[in-house]
Amino acid sequence: MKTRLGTLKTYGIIYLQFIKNCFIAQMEYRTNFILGIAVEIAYLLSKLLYVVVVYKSDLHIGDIPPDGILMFVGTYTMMTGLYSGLFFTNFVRISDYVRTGELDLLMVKPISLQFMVSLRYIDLGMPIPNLAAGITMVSIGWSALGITVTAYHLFLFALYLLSALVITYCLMIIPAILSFWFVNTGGLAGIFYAIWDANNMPMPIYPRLIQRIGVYVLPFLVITNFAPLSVMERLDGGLMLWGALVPILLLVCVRLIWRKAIKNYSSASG
Amino acid sequence: MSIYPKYIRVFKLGVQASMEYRLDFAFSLISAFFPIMIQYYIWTAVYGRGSDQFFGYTYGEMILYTIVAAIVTKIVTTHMDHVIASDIKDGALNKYLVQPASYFGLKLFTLLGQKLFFFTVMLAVLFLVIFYFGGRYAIRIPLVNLVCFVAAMALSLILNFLISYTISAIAFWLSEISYFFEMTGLLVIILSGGVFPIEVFGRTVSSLLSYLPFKYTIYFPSNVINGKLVMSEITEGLLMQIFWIGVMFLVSKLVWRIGFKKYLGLGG
Amino acid sequence: MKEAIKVEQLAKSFTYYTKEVGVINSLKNLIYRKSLTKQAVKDITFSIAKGEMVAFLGPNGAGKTTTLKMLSGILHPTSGSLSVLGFKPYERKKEFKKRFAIVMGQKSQLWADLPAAESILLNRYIYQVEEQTYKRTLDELVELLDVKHVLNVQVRRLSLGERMKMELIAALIHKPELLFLDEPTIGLDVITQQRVREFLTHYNKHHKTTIILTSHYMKDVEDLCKRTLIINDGRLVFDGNLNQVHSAVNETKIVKLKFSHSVEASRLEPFGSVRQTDGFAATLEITKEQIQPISRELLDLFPIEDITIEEKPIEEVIVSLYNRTQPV
Repeated sequence: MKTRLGTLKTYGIIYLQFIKNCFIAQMEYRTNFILGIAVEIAYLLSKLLYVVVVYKSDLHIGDIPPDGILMFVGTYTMMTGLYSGLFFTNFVRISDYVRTGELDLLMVKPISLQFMVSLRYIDLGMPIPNLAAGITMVSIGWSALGITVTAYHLFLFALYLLSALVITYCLMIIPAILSFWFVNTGGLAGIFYAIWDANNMPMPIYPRLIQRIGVYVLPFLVITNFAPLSVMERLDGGLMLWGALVPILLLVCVRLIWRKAIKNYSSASG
Repeated sequence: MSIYPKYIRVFKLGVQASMEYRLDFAFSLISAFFPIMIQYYIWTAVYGRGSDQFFGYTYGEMILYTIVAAIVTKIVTTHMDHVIASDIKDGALNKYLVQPASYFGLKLFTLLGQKLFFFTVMLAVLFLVIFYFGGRYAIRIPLVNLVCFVAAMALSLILNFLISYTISAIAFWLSEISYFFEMTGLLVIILSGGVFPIEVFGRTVSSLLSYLPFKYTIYFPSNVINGKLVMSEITEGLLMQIFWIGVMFLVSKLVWRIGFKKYLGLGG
Repeated sequence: MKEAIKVEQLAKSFTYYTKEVGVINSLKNLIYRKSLTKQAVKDITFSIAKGEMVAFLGPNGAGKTTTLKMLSGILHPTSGSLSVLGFKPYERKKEFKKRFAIVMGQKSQLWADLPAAESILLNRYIYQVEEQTYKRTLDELVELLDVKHVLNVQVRRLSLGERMKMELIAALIHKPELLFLDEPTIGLDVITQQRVREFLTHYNKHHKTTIILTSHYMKDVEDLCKRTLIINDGRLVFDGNLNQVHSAVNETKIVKLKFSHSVEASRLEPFGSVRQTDGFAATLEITKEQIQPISRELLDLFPIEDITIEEKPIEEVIVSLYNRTQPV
């Protein structure tokens, strides 16, 4: 137990170093930093158009009013921010590591290779607009719906956000890992981004079949639906359990695929 | 045409290059399907609440707009701004300067060559979609609209190229550009009606947009085909496209002339 | 345990696929791909003692880097056994990784946008080096390589030589017992190459670190390593001191002649293989045993002004070794 804690501490220190290093590097290129934020604002605007449509047409999905929908859009926006800040840069680079052989130098380090490869770069600018807008939207929706702010509700919301973060990591890294076998996986990544955007709206808008697939097969819909649904008390016990279980299952799967990819790299590549 | 063999050549090279990327193209077609699906369900939910007109569109017109606009966006988006800007940045422009051909012409014909394959495939897809949905939502599209649509698409491709060409001149002044063009590209698509019809922005903004060229690249062709516009409006729109092509041509020339002065001042 | 590395019958083969162009072929490839096998390393056997400094020499694609990658655990061997510092490298145990380092001349472990000092500090945490030890080691290395003034400069702005020195520091900060260097002097100017070589010799002597390096540059090998392993076409064709290479493979010497008036090339051919001639000068390659009788004969027959007999240059000897695929 003590060594386990020690390892955790080492990884924590190293992750802090990553953050520090990324900060220094990004401050070297301030224009890029600011333009990165500007790009995210443009994307944010295109997503906010959906909010405009929702309110202007007074859209009700089932019995979820526009304010409720705002909470879903807000969660989606927050998750987009977290994804772009914590994972995106890393996942894009994985195929480069394989192609250029830069992976070799990372493999000889005495820490987890998956940790090194998938969490090394943190973008500190890009997530700002999305996080700010997302938190604002969730807060507006939350208070407009009159949901009481209790420790229990906050805990639920935080729990399903954490679960969402892990699911995001696991799903979005898949196209990147596939680049160990296939040269060009950009197309697949594009499809994953497109599916990601399906979270822009609460899932009851989709037909039952799509919901089932999105919750149980390729659990994209868990990412932004479970947190708001849980505080609206619309998640039954089974789904609540599933929402907590999915990230663990996915982590195990991704770990297995990763091992296979590395094995393939060590035995097949030159 | 034989007076311009070099333009024919770059046109052919463009066609070849596009064939290289057909797999990417297939994937991008699949990913284009998802936003359409999302919007389809949104609109279905919106119209499901009783009223039969939102933002001036019937349900059928809106669905058709959504699908057509997504496909039109795929066709007219050029990514030429990235290519041109990197030519400016890494000095590749010098190579073109000494050649007895205009850079503008070369880029335009490369683009047309690149787009020929996609254009044909996408038009085929579009006509299938229209055939299917037209029947389903009882929207009758006369043949003359189809002909006008093809014309509007061709004009819109050229107009969009001119817009990209003008924007890419920013590379003469700005040092970091790849992010910048991602942003402008997205904004242009939004303003052109590539995400939602521009009526969604409200009366003020959409009337403001009527004084700008953007809506003639996606919004206008999409409405030609979904049967929302009558013949006189279509003719007017086509004329506006030609007008804006003329204006943007002059604007791009002007911007590039100023840019060149700066470029030569630095590089020479 | 005196041996740092022990390798027996080590072999590595890759499968790769042929790809033909065209849509039909792409579809075909989805279902069935024709696979080809390339044997990069073929049954190599050697062992290296602790503290030794050894060079792998060979042409491009000979299998040097592949061997190095197997020794460092990046690649799995296809067959054979290997033991490095008592570990099986391909298991990639953490304890093993902490005891060696690898520097590749064409790849960088430093973050280009940061000062090298930051990357080195990161390695301190990754290798869990004690702060005191870290400081001492860093000071020593910086001093030896004379790079104190550029430690806090963004790596992107460093010269190639400075960058290589930083790579060395980053690799040595955890005091590895074993150091692999893949083309460490590639692209460097002559003076910097010299500095790097001096540093490696010094470091090897003082820290008793086992060093294995691959190189194209003959000078690297001649200056640094008493022992050289020459690999060609995946096979080990020579293992020993480079100076012994001559006696091991060289059966010929070079005879250079100068004439007072023109001599036709065809008249020289019976005496040995003519490498070069322009009428007034000629270079012949003659087997060792025949040197004496033939040079006497040449002096009698031709208007010779000057005659010199030389060993073949080491590069050429190596080339002739490369052409072998059987061990000497």
